[in-house]
Amino acid sequence: MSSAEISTADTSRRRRRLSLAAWMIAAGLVIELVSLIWSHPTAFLLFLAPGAVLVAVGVAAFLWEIATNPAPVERDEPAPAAKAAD
Amino acid sequence: MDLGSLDWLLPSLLVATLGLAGLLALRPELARGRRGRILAFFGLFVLPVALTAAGLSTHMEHAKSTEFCLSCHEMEPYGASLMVAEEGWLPAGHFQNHRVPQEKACFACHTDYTMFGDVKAKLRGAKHLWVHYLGDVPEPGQIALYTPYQNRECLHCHGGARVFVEGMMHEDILAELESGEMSCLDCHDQIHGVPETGEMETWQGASEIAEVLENGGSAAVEVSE
Repeated sequence: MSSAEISTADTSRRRRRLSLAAWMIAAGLVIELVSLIWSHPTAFLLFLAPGAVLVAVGVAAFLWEIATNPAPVERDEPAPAAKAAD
Repeated sequence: MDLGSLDWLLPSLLVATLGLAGLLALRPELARGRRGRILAFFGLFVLPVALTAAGLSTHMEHAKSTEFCLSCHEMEPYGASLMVAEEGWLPAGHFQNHRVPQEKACFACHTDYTMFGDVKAKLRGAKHLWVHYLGDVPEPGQIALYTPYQNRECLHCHGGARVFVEGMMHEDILAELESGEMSCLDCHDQIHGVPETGEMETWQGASEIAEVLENGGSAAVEVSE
């Protein structure tokens, strides 16, 4: 497998993990939102678990991903010098 | 939703953060580049953590309300003891005469007035829910406190009050009450009086109070004779 293929596979894996973390956080936030609208003792439990637990796991997964696989920083826009060289 | 208060702010921020997290879930490639990383850091770390902490605080505050405690049917007869017509009934006398804040009546007497008293009260509340769903719920008259009621909770308000310390009954036993050698409940032994309260006459102002509490406000009720 060439280095380009390895890099593409890494990027794809990184995106998948990031996406999974984001889905968990989004699901946790939906549950937290519902629990805040519903006024009942059960809503408090719903907020803690699964709501806050999902957010915590998602945040931990996101932090783990950026800490263990620091992707090379891509510039948002090409540098002026590079443009000139093109 | 009252726009005058900031009740709408937390749900609105939650929706906005939800949108951001959803966008990053669908298009994780947005997290590339410097700006994308900053966006992901806020959307998947800073905002969710901050909003979860704010949500927890909101729930903790709401869990102190009388309406919250009485929303479980097991507590209904205890709620009824606040509304009985007999003013000498301990919970009714406190509730109807505003000796406890009506919107936080249960919490005012049943929290621990210690550093982590609120947290302990909430943990006990979580245990109630566990029993409600998964345990054997005792009959209304059989529900008891986990630990003996402490004078500390009574003295938090009554201690030092002139009517209390100069009261002819309390003056001679103040030291024993403060040391816990004697319990307030040794004399004031009629508390909620469940299940008898279900058969007692209800105070005329009860329905108005119940309505106000349902709306989450403090009640000031004029009782018509």
